[in-house]
Amino acid sequence: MTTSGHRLIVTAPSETEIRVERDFDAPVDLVFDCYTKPEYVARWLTGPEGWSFSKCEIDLSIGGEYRYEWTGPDDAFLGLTGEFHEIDRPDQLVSTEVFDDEEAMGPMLVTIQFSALVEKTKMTQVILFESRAARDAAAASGMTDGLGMSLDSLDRLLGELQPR
Amino acid sequence: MNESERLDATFIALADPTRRAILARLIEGEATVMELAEPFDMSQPAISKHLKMLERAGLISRSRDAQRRPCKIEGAALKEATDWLENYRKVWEANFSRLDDLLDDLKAQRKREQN
Repeated sequence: MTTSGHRLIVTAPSETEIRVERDFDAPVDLVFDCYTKPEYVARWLTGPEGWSFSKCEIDLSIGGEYRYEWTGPDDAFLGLTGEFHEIDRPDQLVSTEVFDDEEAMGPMLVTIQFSALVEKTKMTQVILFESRAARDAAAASGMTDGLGMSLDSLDRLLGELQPR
Repeated sequence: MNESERLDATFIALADPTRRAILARLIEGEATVMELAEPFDMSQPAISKHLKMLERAGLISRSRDAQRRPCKIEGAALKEATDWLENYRKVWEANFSRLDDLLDDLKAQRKREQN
């Protein structure tokens, strides 16, 4: 078990975006491969405990698709389809993705940047929700807007609520 | 409201600094609208509007019978919202912790190949 101690930073730059930042103690090309080679992705992008990949396919080309399917406890199922728009190894990946059963959430434009630092890599992922989808979602399930704002505002709230 | 609508109302309520400050104040104990309006340089109707949003999200409640109608914080809705955030973070923490391990394996492998 690694204890890198790198902080996960989640912010909401706008009402339709989520930004996730994390450093990794590895060269930038390795981190890029871990995001783009199915045999690697399948080993880490598995989500909550009890879930695993039942399908992990990636066509790493412009216009190429990727398809993730996960199964979880009690036959739970989650599927996601993505399409690559930009592939700039090892610096940047731009794709759109949509969950099968989460119409309220998608499609999302996902931009992932990898920057080489001294003996580590900074990963920055920005998820842009379509404004229309965001608006529809607010009416339907409410999760899209909530997700974007909550991460940031809750962090701040929790900071403010600390006993003085 | 169903669960996700309530959660959404909670997050919208929490997105505003004035409403967060009101919650922070109410953590210290009940307060009336007038007491809550005092530090904000805001009219009572403006504060009342914020209170309505907090009440709709279930984050505060207002006593019906008392003349002063003091507001108090409701911990359950706040906990639901923070639990949800905590789950989101936990999933990504777990993903990235596994990625740390995988990268360690790959670095070791690369080192062996270079030797």
